[in-house]
Amino acid sequence: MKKFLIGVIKFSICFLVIIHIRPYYLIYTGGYKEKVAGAEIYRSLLKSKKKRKTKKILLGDSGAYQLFPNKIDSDTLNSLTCNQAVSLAGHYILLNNYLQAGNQVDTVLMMFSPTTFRNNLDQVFTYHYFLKPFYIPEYKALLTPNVIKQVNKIPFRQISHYPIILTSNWAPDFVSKDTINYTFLSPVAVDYLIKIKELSVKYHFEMMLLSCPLNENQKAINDRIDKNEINKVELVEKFDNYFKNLIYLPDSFFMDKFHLKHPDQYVDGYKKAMFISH
Amino acid sequence: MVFTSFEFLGFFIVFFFLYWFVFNVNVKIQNLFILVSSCVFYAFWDWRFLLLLVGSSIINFFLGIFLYKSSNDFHRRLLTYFGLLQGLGLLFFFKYYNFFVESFKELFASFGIQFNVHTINIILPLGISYYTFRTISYILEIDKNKITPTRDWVIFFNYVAFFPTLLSGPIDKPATFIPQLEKKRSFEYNEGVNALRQILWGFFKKIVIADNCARFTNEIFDNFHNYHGSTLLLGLYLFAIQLYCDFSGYSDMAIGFSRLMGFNVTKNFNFPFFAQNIADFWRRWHISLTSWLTEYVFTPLSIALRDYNKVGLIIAIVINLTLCGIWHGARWSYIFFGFVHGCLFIPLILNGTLNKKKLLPKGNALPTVKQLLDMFLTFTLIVLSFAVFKSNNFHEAVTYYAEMFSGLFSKNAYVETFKFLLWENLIFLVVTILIFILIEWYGKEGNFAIEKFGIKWIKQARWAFYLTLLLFIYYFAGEKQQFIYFKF
Repeated sequence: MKKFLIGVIKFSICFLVIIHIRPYYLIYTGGYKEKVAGAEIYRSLLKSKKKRKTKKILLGDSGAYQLFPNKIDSDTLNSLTCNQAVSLAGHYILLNNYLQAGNQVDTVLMMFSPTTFRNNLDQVFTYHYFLKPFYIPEYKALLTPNVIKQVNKIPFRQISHYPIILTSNWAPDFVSKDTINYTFLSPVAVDYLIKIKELSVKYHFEMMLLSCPLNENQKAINDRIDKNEINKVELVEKFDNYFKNLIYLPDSFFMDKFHLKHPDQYVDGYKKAMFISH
Repeated sequence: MVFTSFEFLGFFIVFFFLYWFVFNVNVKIQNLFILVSSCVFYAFWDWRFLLLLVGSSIINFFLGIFLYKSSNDFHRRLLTYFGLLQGLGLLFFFKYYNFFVESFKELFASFGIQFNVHTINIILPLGISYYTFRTISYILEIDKNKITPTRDWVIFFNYVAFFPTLLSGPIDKPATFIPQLEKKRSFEYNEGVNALRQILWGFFKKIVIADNCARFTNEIFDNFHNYHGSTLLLGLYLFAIQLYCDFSGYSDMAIGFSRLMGFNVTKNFNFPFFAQNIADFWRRWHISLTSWLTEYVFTPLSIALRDYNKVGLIIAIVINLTLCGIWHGARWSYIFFGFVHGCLFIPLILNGTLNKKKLLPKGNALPTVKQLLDMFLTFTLIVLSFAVFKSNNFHEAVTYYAEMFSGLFSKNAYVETFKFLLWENLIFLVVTILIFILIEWYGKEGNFAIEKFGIKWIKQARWAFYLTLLLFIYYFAGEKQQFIYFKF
């Protein structure tokens, strides 16, 4: 037995050493940010810290990313789109980074589908798409008690930055047991809409809310939204415009519940709506 | 808690140390510990069905003792039938009731008669087909005076619910397994190392091959109307490989974990894709089930029908394999699968080659052209019949076949299949499968493919090989899929 156990331990050590080489290398080179699922988040984070002349910035979910991917650089619009899983908290951090880098902003376009506003960091994706890129010491001061409360419910959160975990797509199976008592704005979304509004006052920029085209399957859910929830953030006028301009398209136009089959067809229309030219 | 989960890894490590270092005081305590662990293992899935398992074990434990004690033939018959009725009744209720009700309803409806019996909404208890066959085997062996019943309830319960083989077999016979529970077990270094090799190979088959194949077979089967016949044929070949690697991978893990506990469990697969005819295939595929059916169904049937010569033999084999099909589940497609396989035996029976042993070349030698052709044809026959396992119902399977054969020679079929092969690294999977088949070929004389693979190499080279397999598992793991045979 002793010989067996020693052999197993030696073999396990060899294996553990080998499997750590690649993650440490990827962290050293930063290469994991391009390899993992959600690489667009790291790209937006990187872009958000750079000094740019662009005064219009676009925050957005994956629907917005389809129309205005953050890979494309433009002089008139700086796209920091990524996906809904980062929640309004993640999008706020991107905006804050951009302002802290000393950039001048006159308009912040926020292209989010209603689903993004419902995100309360209670999804199975939260671990990989929010904890790994955003739950780091650099941003902890920007996290509200609601965020901390939600994060504390996620299993294995303590090891989310362990090299093997960080450089892989692994996330625990997590099903939230929260009771949902909102139809549109989650507590996390409320926190960060208020914070974004505060930034708009401090840095004198205009906020504009809009959504990418939505699947008509979502209409029934969105029609049940309790508009009183919007009062909490005092952005009634902006949300009135938001709801007025929602576009619903048939299910056959989408490759899944949310993403368009041919997003290119809608780009020009949105450019006009955002008063930008390329 | 499945073998490929971190929960099971943690569970087994703790179990292993307690088993060999704390509870090895005597065999009774060690057996009790196995039983408690088996209950914990099963309760992880659903503790309510643990009661069913315990209830069935209690009935069969006492039934075995009463049966052995009884000297009256009539009483013995009665007890044996009760045991069979209890086991088969349990299976019927949980597995087949809805199927029969639906089928009768449809049958009566076709004559314009409404049949007012309702189906029930119930979950199939995990492992029921396996542990019920163990209890039936126990009763029949006592009835035939082949074994004496154990008076130790812990031993009997362990025979029924031994956790490494509880959920998907192999289905051990009481004559080979119970004696192992009765004697003191000791840890052998070579056995331990071999067990780890077998577990490693099982993991490789399940996680690298089966789970990666699943990605493509799910895509092809879920959207088969969108693909040409040649891609559908590719889907069938991939599914056959997936099914084999999934189930034999599980069996290798089950056998390996048992060996680490000092148990020798029945071999379940003997490289079935190297079979050279259908009879050869069934001697190599799911061996513990086929030998169970051979002993308790085929042998009595063929004896009863021996006066009818070849016709009797054909009937016995067709019934045996149809039952084998039904064992998999309550669907017409499984019945069809078993029936067709039974019919495939007919040419062998008619030309008298049914029991002719098909030998494979020894050592590293390659097969002859004839052997290779026989293997390929047998494999293709098997592959063609596997659509019923993957399809949701018989109608879907028939549609799949129809679209596959009608589109097999269409103009752009092979171009599309080639593009599909290039899609998302399927080509990598095909290369991995070819390497896997080569390793299986060179290891075909062992109990599992890598039992003797590289055994004469220096230790460092051997370790490098095992580490390579582990790295494949680590880096190329497919999306986690449930073991296919859990649902049976």
